[in-house]
Amino acid sequence: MPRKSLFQRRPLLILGIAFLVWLLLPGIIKTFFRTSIIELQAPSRQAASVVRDVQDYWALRSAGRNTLLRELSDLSRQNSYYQLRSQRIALLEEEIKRWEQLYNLPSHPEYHFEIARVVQRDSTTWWQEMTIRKGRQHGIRKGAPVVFAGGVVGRVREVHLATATVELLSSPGLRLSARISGEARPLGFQGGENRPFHPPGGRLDFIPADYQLPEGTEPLVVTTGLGGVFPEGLVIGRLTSLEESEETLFQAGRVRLDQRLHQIREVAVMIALEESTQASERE
Amino acid sequence: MNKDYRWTVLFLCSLVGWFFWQEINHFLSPVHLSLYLGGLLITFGILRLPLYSGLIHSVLIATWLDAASPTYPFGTGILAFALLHLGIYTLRRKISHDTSAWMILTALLVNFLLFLFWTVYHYPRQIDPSGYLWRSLVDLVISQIATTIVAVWFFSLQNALLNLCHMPLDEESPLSP
Repeated sequence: MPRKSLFQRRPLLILGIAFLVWLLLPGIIKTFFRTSIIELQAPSRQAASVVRDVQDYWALRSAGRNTLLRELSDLSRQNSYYQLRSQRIALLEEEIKRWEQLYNLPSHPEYHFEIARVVQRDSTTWWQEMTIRKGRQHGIRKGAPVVFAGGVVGRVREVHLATATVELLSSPGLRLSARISGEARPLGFQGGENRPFHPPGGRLDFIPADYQLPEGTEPLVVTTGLGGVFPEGLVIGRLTSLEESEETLFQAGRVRLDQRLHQIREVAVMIALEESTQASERE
Repeated sequence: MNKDYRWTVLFLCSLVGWFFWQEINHFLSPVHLSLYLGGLLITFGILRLPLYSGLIHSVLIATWLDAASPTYPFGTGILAFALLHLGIYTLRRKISHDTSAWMILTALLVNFLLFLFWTVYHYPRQIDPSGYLWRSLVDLVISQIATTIVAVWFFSLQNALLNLCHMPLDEESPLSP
């Protein structure tokens, strides 16, 4: 009978020792190991995203001329509308600055919007996140707010060389300060309602017991600007119902998030201009 | 120990499987569904490789999956995969592990156990427990259906790649093309 080695005789013991070694391993080594694997995974994710872009391009190429002309005409109409809006916003911004100077108010932070393609959406039962095709080399910072046309998308959880991971608003781990549009009191929002075939949702906590939902309407829930991550007034979702609690003085509410949250192809990462300038100076 | 590098071929094959799994999840995301196929990736290694080459394969896959997972400490999955590997490996002598039906059943069992582990692990941080359990049940059902459909092809692919690399299994597998 061939002699068995220790590895063959005591597999559980070896596993236990390996586990102990893993536990005692310094965090920096584990982080390095993990980051290296993510950087190894990045090219395959980016390649898949580029292939999808090429597919979209050829699908557009095969569209009829009339469809393209119609799209072009719609776009030029929208373009003129947004040019007018842009002029109006510039005037309002000037006025705000004048008032700020007049009353010595702290100025609103200004942001640079870094547009990024979504490489991969990963909305499992356990977490909700997406990978974007911009990273450290594009000035993306950890914790930066991420937005799209419908409001808040989430915040940057991890930044890698050419990619970044965004924790979505529908993720149970994401909490932020919010308020109901038209109300001043700050409330707590937490994501985490992800039923199949339903729009994503979250919960609004600490709603005062005397607050009543206006009949026939679903008020907007927006960010408060407290906490320093998300600027004020970004749309989170709509408050659809209230749940009274017998134990506390507050109510909780259900918030319906934008249905497009899990279909987005492009997002904008908000980078505070001061932060961006400091980073470029350091470089 | 004998130098057995069949786990390298299986690992590369599993990475291909992982890539397609991630792509499917990307497209399922708008309807709020997702697949979990972790069990499928490691079953062949558990049933058809010697203990240590199979274990290396399972640990590598777990490390790869752990790196991209944001909600638990890096290494939790490695422990879960390794324990499950050892558990199923000790049972493999009692089952006829070289028939495709048993391999599929084992893949379903391994996938179910891993899914259950992660579902229980993440349960305490949920704000909508009933919604979470409903979503988990639907995801589990579609994951098991997907495993059943894909398993035979995936095991045959792994077998074919081993033969292609001149690293055949110890005995002829019924899944050989």
